[in-house]
Amino acid sequence: MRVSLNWLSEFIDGLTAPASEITAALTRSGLEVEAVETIGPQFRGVVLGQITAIEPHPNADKLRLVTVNLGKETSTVVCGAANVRDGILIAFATEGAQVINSKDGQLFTLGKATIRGVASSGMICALSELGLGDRYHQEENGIWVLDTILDKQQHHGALGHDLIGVLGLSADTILTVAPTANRGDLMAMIGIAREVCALFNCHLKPSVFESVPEWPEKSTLLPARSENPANADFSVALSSPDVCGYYAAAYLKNVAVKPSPAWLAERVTAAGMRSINTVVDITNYLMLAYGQPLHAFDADKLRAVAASKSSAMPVVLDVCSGHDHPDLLAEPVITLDDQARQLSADSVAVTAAEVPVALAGVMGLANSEVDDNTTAIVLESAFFPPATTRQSAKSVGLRSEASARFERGIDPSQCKAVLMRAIQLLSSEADATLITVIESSGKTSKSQTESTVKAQEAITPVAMTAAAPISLRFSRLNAVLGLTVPEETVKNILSQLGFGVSVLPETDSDLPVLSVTVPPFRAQDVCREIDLIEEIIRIYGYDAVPFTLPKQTAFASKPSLSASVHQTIARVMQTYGLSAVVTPSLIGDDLLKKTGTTLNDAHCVSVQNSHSAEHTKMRQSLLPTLLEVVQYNLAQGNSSVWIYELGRVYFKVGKASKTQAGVSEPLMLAGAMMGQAHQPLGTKTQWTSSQCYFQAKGVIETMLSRLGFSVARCQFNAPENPDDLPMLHPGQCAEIRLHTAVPDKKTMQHAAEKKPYVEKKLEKKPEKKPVGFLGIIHPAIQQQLKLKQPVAVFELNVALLTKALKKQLQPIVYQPLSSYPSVQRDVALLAPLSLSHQSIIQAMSAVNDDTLKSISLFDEYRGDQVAAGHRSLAYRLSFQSSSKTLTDSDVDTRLSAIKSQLKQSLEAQGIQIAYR
Amino acid sequence: MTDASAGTALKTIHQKLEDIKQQAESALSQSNTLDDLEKIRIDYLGRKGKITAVMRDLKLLSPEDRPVAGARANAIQAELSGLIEKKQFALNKEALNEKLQAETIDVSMPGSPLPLGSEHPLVLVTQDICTIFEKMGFSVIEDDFCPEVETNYYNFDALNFPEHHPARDMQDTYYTTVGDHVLLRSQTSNAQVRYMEKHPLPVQVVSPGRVYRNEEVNSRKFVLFHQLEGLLVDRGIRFSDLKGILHAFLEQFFGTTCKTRFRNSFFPFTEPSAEVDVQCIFCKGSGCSVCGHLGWLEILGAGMVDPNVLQAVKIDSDVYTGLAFGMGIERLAMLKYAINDIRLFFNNDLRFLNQFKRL
Repeated sequence: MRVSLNWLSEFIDGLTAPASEITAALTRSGLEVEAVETIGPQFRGVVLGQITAIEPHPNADKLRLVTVNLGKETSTVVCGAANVRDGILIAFATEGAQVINSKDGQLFTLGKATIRGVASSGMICALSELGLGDRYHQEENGIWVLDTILDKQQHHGALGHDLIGVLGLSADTILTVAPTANRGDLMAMIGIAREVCALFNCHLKPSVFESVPEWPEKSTLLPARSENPANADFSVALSSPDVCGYYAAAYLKNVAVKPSPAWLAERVTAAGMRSINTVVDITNYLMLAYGQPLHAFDADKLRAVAASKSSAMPVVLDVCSGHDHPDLLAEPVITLDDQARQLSADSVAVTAAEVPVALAGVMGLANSEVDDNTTAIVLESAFFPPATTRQSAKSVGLRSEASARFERGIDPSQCKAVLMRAIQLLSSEADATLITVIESSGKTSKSQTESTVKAQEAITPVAMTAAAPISLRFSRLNAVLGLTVPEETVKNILSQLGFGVSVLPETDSDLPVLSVTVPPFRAQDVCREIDLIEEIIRIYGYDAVPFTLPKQTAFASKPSLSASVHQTIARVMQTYGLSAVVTPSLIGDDLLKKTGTTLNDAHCVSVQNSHSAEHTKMRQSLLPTLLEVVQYNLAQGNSSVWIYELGRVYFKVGKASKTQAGVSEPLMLAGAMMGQAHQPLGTKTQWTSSQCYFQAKGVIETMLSRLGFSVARCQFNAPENPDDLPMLHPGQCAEIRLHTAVPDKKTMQHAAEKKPYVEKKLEKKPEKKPVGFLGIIHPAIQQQLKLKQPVAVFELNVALLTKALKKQLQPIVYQPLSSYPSVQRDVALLAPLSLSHQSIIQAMSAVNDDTLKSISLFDEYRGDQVAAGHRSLAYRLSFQSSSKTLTDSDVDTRLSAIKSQLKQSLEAQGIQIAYR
Repeated sequence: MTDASAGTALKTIHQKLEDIKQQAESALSQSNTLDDLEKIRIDYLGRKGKITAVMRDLKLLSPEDRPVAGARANAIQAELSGLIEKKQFALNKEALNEKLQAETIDVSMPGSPLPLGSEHPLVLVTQDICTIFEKMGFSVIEDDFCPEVETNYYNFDALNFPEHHPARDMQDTYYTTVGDHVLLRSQTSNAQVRYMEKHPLPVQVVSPGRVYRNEEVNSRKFVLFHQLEGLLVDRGIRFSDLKGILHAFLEQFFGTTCKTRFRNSFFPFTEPSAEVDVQCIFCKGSGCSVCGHLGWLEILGAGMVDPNVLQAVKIDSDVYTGLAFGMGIERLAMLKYAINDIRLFFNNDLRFLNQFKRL
C-alpha cells in the first residue's frame, strides 16, 4: 500500500517528524516500509525569468547571448536552443541550482561556465531538465516556454520567484508499506495515522465524520418517494446472514460521471490507482482513507438486469452464497475486468432480483458497471466477513483491493458513516441527489423510505457486538517482556491506539491491573492480554527490552545415534574424495525420463498446485538428481565427479489422517562416482567399469565397517530380481545386506562392568531386506545421458542402517592383544563362475573356529589354464589363538576341517569345487 | 727334520704369506666392483682360499714354529679382511651414491593426490548454527519430529493459523495428492508442536530441515530451502531472553560484534513477534546493493510462543512461557560466504563446492 505523507498529515495534528523518522518508527513497530519515494519537483534554485534581449555569440554561429529579466536583476547567459524568442517566459536555473542532466537523469549542481570564451552564469531550462515532462507538455524542442501556462501581465511580479511556488507544485513523499496479515486496520490511511500518533505522541485531527450528515430521516428525503414503498425502487434483504453481516446502500440520481477534480485525482494517483471518474475515484478515495470498500452500481442497469427475471418492485438486493443458492452457479459471470468466471459453492454474490450483479466484496460485474452514461447509482457499503469473502475470492481466483481488506477484516461500525461521507462527496463533486438509503443486518430489512421504520433506529452489524474488556496485569506484562513499562506510558500508548483504558479498583495483585476495551477497528487481532502486551511493547519499542539469558540453564543432550551416523558417513565419504551435494527433493517427469527411472506410482507423493512441471513429485530415490549433478558438472568441464548426498526420499505408506500424512521419509545415502579420483602421471587409461565398481564397493565397505559393520558382515550379492534395478548394468550391480550381530547378555554384562571378555562368535543374522544397492549405470542410460565414462552409483537406507546399528550397539571395551603368533595357510580352489566369493566366505566362516581370524582373497584367475566356466581362487586364512601358540599340526587340522566343510556345504547346494 | 730345514720351512711359509699378502693387496687395488672383491675374499680368505691353504701347511712346521706362523697367518688374514671390508665400504658408498644420484627426482613435481571431498556449504552452516545453540543448551531434534510431508494440522492449525485467514497466504504452500489437507511443510515450525506433544517441559531444542514454497525460481528464491527452528519453553522465559539468545547467536555466527535490530512483525504462532535484522555486514550500515541501501539485513523471525500454541499441546500458558525463532539457512550461508544466487546451492558445481573445504 502506498502512503502519501501529505495525505497522512491531513489526519494528524502537529506531525513534524521527517519522513526518515516516520519510516524508521513504522518499520520498527510492525508496519514495514519497503520503499520511500519522493514525488513532485526535484529541482531547486530555478526561478521564473523573461527574455529581454538576444544577441549573437561572438565566437559561435549556433549560440546566442540571451539576457533574462529576473525581476530585481538581469542575467546574460549563453543559450544554444533554437526556440529562444524575445519576450517569452522561461525557467531560469541560477548558479548553484539543482537540475536534471537529461543524459543520465541524475541531479547535478549548476556551476559557473565559460562557453566559447564567454562567461555564462545560469541556464535556461528545458522541461526534461526540470523533470516535469509528465506534468506539462510542449510540442517544440528546446527550452520550455511557459507562456502557454502563465499570463505575462499577471506574472510580471513573479519574475525572479522560485518556480515551484509560481507553478504551485507540491512535493510529496510516498511510503510503500506492507501491512501484516493480521492488521486490516492498516490498509487505511486513518489506521496508519493512528500508528503515527502513538509513535510520535501526536493526536488525530477531529474526524471528518463529525461533519457528515446523520443517517437521513424520512423528512429529508424526496417526499414523493417516501410514502409509497412500491416506488422505493430498491430494497435489501439478506437471505444468507453468514456471508454478509451488514449491508447499506444509497440510491442517488443526477450523478455527473466526469473527470475528478485535481485534489481527488492527486490523492488517488498518489496511492497508486488510476484516476477514472468522480464516482469510481470517490469510492476508491474513501476505501483508501478509511478501509471501507464501496461499490457503485449503475441503478438503471440494475433495474434492467432485475427486470429480466422479475417485474416486482422494489428491486430486491440480496447477498447469496453458492451453497444456499445453487442456481447462481448455472452460468458464468463477467467481472469488471472483462473475465468470464464460473462461480462455485464457496462464491458469494450480490444479486438484484436473484441475478448476480457483483461478487460480494471482491469485484462488480459488467452487467451493472458504472460508465460515462450513468446518471443514477446504487452505492453499497457493507460488511462481508473475512473467512467467507476469502473463500469466495479464492473460488473465482480473483483478489482485489476490496477483497484484501474484507479478508483481513474491516471496521463494521463505520459502514454507515463512510456511506454518508460518500453521499456528501458525490453531492459536492458529482452533483448527485440522494433519493434513498437502505440497510439490513440480515434479520430485518429496513428502508428509510418505509413509513414503518424510524430513521434513527439502530441496526447493528452482526460482527459489531462489542467484546468484553480485557484485563491487563502489569505483573504479566513485566514477566513476559523482562522489563518494567511505566503505568502512564502503558495507558498513553493504549489510548492513542484507540483502546479504552481504566484501572480495575480491586485486584489480588500488588501491581495495577487495567481493564481495556478494544475499538472495533482492532477487534480482529486484539482479543487477549498477550495481544495488548504486544501493542504496548511494539510502540514502546523493542529496543527498550534488555538482552538477557534465561535464568535456568540446560545441557544440550548428546548427539543422537542417527546424528552420529550422519557425521561418520560424511567423514568417510569426504575422506575418500566424495563431495557432499544437496539436490531438490521435488522433481519432475522429465528428469525421471532422462535418467531412465520411474517412480512407484502407488507410493508417490505428488503436488497438486505446482507452478512448474519440473517440481511435481517427491523423489523416491536420490539417484536421478545425482545423475543430473554429474551431467551438469561434466558440462561445466569438471572431469571426475565423485559426489554423495544424505537426503530423504518419500513414500506414501498409509492412509492420511487429520494429523498424520501417512508418508514415510527415510534418510538415504546415495553416491555417484565417475572418473578416477586422480590419474597418476604417465597413465592415460580410463578405468574399466569393473574397476569403477570395485572402487565404489571399497568406499562403501570402509564406510560400513567404520559404522560397525565389518566387511565380513556385509553381503553384496547379485540382486534377486535384477528388474528391480533397471537403471543398472545387470552384470555389475549388487544388493547390500547386513548381518546384524546381536550381542548376548554376557557380553553386554562384561562390557557394562568394563571387564575384558573373550570375544565370542556373535549371533549373526542376515537381514532379509537389502539396505541398499550398488552398481554401474546401465550403458544404455549412460549413453542417453551422454556420459563418456562408466558411473558407479549406490544408495543405502540410512534409517535401516541406524536401526540395525542400534540393535548391536555396545560400549567399547579394550581387548587384550594375543601374545601368540598367528599362522597363515593358503587355500586355492577351482570353482564354477556362478559361485560367488561371498558364498565361499560365508561357507568357510560357518565353521565354528574361533582361532580363524581372517579370510582374504588374494588371487583370481580366469583363462586357458582352467576349465571353461570356471575360475581359480586363492584365499589366505589366518589363525591365531589367544591362549597358546598354534602348532603346525593344530593349524593343519583346523584347515582341513574348514576345507572339507566348505566342500560339503557347497556340494549340498549342488556346487562342485576342487582344491588345487 | 733339521733345525735348519725347520727354520727354512718357517721362512718359506712366511715368505708365502708375504707373497699372498702382496698379491692380495695388488688384486684389491685393482678391483673396482663388489663382485671382484667377493672373488678376492673367496680366493684368499675362503675355505679353499690361499691363506687357508697356507694354514693347512702349518702342520708341517715344528711345534715351536707353528704358533709363530699361525699368528702371522692370522694377522695377515685379519689385515686382508680389514682391507677388503674397507674397500667394500668404499665401493658400497660409491654404489649408493650412484644409486642416489640415479634416483634423484624433481621434488617440485605434483604429489600423488588423495583428493578430499568437500562438505556442502548448507551443511556447514547448519552445523555451525547447531553448535552455537548447543553451547547455549539447545538440543538438536531427531528427524522423526520433522516430517516434510505434513498435515494442515501441524503446519497451520496447531500453530494458530486461523482457517480461511490471509496469514495462510504468507507462504505459498504446495498441496499434495495424498489428501487435500496434506501439504509440503512451508516452515519448520511443525516440529514445535510435534516435539512438545511427546516431551515433558522444559523443552529447549533446535530443528533444522527442508521446507517448500510454491514460488517462481530466481536468484533469491527456490522451490525449497532449509530452515532452522528453535524453541524454548519453561517457567519464566521472557522476551528479553529471546533478544539475548538471538543477539548472542548472531555475534557468534558472524564472528564480529554485530549490531542487531528487533522490530515488530506478525507470525500467527508467536505473540509478540519480531523480525530480526543485523546491520549489513558488507557496508556496516552505510547502505550497499546487498542490503538494498537500507543498511540492515533481515535475518530471522522470532517471538514469544503464542498462548494458543501452548494450549494446543495442553500447556498452561499462564505458568509457562516460551520463545521460538526460525531462520533461513540459505540466507545465512549467502551472507556468510557472499554467495549471490541461491541456485548455486542446488546446482552443486564441484568448483563451487570445493571452495568450502576447511578445518
